[in-house]
Amino acid sequence: MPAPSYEAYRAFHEQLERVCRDLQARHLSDLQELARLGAGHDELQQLSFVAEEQMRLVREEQMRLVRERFHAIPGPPSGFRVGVQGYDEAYWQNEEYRQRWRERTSGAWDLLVAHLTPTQRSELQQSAYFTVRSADGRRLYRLDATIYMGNIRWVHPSGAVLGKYCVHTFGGYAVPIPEHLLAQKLHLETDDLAYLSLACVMFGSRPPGCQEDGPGAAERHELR
Amino acid sequence: MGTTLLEKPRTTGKLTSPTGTLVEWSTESEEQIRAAREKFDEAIAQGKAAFAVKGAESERVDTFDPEREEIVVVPWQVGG
Repeated sequence: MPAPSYEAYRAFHEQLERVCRDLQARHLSDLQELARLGAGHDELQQLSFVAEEQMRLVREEQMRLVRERFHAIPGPPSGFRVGVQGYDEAYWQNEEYRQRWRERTSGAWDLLVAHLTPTQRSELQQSAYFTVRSADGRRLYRLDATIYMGNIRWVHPSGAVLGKYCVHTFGGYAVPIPEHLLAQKLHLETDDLAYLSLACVMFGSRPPGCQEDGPGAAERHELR
Repeated sequence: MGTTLLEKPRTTGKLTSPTGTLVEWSTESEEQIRAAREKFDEAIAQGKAAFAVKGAESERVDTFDPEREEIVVVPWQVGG
């Protein structure tokens, strides 16, 4: 089955988000109403259990969407040399997922390293980051290989950090870090200003020439 | 020009993604080029970005060129 378009995914994801919000609102309203009518602790707790189960089903649907339609495998690389934040422990209990994740992550590291210069490989090996240069040669970026969120730093040749940004492959922690790094490297080396216009600025400012309210602005505002 | 099993066209280019190689082609095989072009167009239609890579050099591309040695397609990027 071909992967759906980004718009199709967004529409479906937003629909699920609405279901989640509706469930929460209804749950809260039911709780308030029952409390007003003098319901006891057990009745309120029972209602909470039901609401939690409904929410769990919606979240499962979201994860299924990511896993099956986008061929992404949730879970961190256990015992791997880099960490992954915010994973879902329940999925990681499954040996099949763990095995598939290890294979995918290992292949992704090989592919990333094949696209690095000897200097970048050496940096990655020694310091768990590597530096890329913008197409015009004016800016240096350091990509931290231990995380995927907020891992891009704009650095002065002296080493001073001028900005820190968060922009990465859709899928977040369900995508192995080397896959994020390869995409970030290619974007930064070809058109860093357009790429960083999508980013969330975590520290400092964007390099001059970026769109401060670029194409990613709407998404960033949604996330806040 | 037809090729026999003993004369398999030599791979001259490949389309990869961060998850691995998607398709390889030889400039001698029109069939392979067509298959690679279809994969490329499919990726672009899905909103993915494509980069022609040669050694440490990379360049953003929007159309398929079979003369390229490697084209890497990367998924959607989002600001976090």
